[in-house]
Amino acid sequence: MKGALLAVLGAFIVCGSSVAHAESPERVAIDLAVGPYEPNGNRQTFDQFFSGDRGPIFGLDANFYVVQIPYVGPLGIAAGASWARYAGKACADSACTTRSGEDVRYDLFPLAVTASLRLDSLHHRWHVPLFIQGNIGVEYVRFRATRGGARDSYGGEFGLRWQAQAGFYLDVLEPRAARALDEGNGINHSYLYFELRGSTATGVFPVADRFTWLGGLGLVF
Amino acid sequence: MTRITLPLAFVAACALASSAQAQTTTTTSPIASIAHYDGNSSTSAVNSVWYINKGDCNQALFAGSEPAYIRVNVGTIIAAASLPQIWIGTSCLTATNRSGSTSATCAQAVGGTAAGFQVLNSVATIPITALMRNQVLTTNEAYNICPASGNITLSFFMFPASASGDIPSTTAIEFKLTADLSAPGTPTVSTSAPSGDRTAKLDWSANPDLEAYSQTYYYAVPGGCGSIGMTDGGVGADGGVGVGFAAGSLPPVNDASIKTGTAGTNGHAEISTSALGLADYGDSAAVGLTVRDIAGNYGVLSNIVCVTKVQTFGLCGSAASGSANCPRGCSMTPSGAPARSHIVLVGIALMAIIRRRRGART
Repeated sequence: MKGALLAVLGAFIVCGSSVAHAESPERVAIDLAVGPYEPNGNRQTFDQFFSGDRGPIFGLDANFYVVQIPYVGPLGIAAGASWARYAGKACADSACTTRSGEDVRYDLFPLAVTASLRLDSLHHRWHVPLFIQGNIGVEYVRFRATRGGARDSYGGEFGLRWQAQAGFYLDVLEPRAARALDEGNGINHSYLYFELRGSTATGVFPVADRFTWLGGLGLVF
Repeated sequence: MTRITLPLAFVAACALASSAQAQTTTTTSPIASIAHYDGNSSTSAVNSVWYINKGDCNQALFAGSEPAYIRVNVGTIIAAASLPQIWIGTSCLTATNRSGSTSATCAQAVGGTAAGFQVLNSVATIPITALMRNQVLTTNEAYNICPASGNITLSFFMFPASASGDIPSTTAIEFKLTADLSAPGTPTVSTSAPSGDRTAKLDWSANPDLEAYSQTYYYAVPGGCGSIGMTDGGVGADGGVGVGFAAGSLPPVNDASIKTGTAGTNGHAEISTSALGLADYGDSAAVGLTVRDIAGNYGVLSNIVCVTKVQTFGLCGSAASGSANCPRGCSMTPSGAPARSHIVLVGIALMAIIRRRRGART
């Protein structure tokens, strides 16, 4: 098994060497992701209406590379926006022993500004199509609760956001297409990634997931 | 390796999309508009097919309004202010198809300006109501369409009054109208939980003969459910079908005491209780649904259900949350206090990155 993994990795390195060409400068990475999201905190209220609802959450992140650290990778600032919606039925009495037909919705809009560090020297120096990235910064989660289409409650909570990402560059699989994208559209790399994410934001209602995961597609320009 | 082709293709498509050229299409239908006497004008064009409806046959249904007309762009083919020959039938540009009378393939519209025909500013006006009731055609029972049912497509041919013999297509205008003479099916409203605070959700199932492109409307009588079954016999009738507020009757039109609006097309209608005229908890209204098809035909009302405004509880107001704590606006809760120190630390880190970047430039 271990031998097979090494063989696959070796094949990527060999294939990756054919990708080597004069790449345009890397300035921005755009990530699109989706994953489960269950806000933590006052779960009693949340579960009363949305028990078992795990989102999903949809996210868009933009990483702006500011400094290239030799032998490490780019250091930058990232801005991210996500959205998750939960739907249930309103209670017909305050104790919630019965339900009415009226819809209850709860929307979360986590916004984050983080510092990001991408470790991709393996790819640039030895053409191993892998990278890891870490982000840490401030998150502001905007929330909105509606009943019967009208807003009941809204607000926002701050917290600390962290992200840990591992990615696989697709360039190595189709070098010609990758080169054409770079030369024609300035897209240096495309990649699939897996991300672990967490936030400390909390409030009267649960607004952020302390620990979740997302998967997505990214482009480096 | 082929599995990765799709993501890369997606990436390439996204990138190339920005350079795609916008393309436009044009519709060549010569019909400018159809104005119905029930006040709904120019609403019957879908995919370049124009419809006229059963209501066009019977002004009594919506008494007091003007008759329906078709307005057709005639360009320079028909001289301004001169009435053209108008024929309905099959291949009416061929002379032999226009000859004869009762057995003719084509029937000619007659009556001139007295019957409502007009050409003004390159637009010909044709009185569709009179035409459908066979009041302006040469005798030909085949085109007396009002007594019919279902869909009937009519081919129109217009050319200058002086033309004779076989008419070249370049000197004539041809267009088609579909007369939809059947009312759409009637939905059935579920009576489970038709109550709410801000909205009342009605679930309904469609009758199998509901047509494509149809729209469902609700009709409500606020002020109590005692009106269920009420029929207003004074409004009029269409073919013996009562007009009023009762299941199986055509819905009343232009009745200010009745609330109405769209109720969706997918079997679920979320209707605002204020739109139903319900102000206080306990207020109720009798509600029924009807369908209007693309041609403008109304179906009869569904079963009538009683909708009541009742108090409900969401995230705010439930026992679990407590209304006193329900936030409105930005907040930084006590539990968020530790986050402030995090924010300061992250701010310092971001500043450091920016300073380092500036230092690298200098």
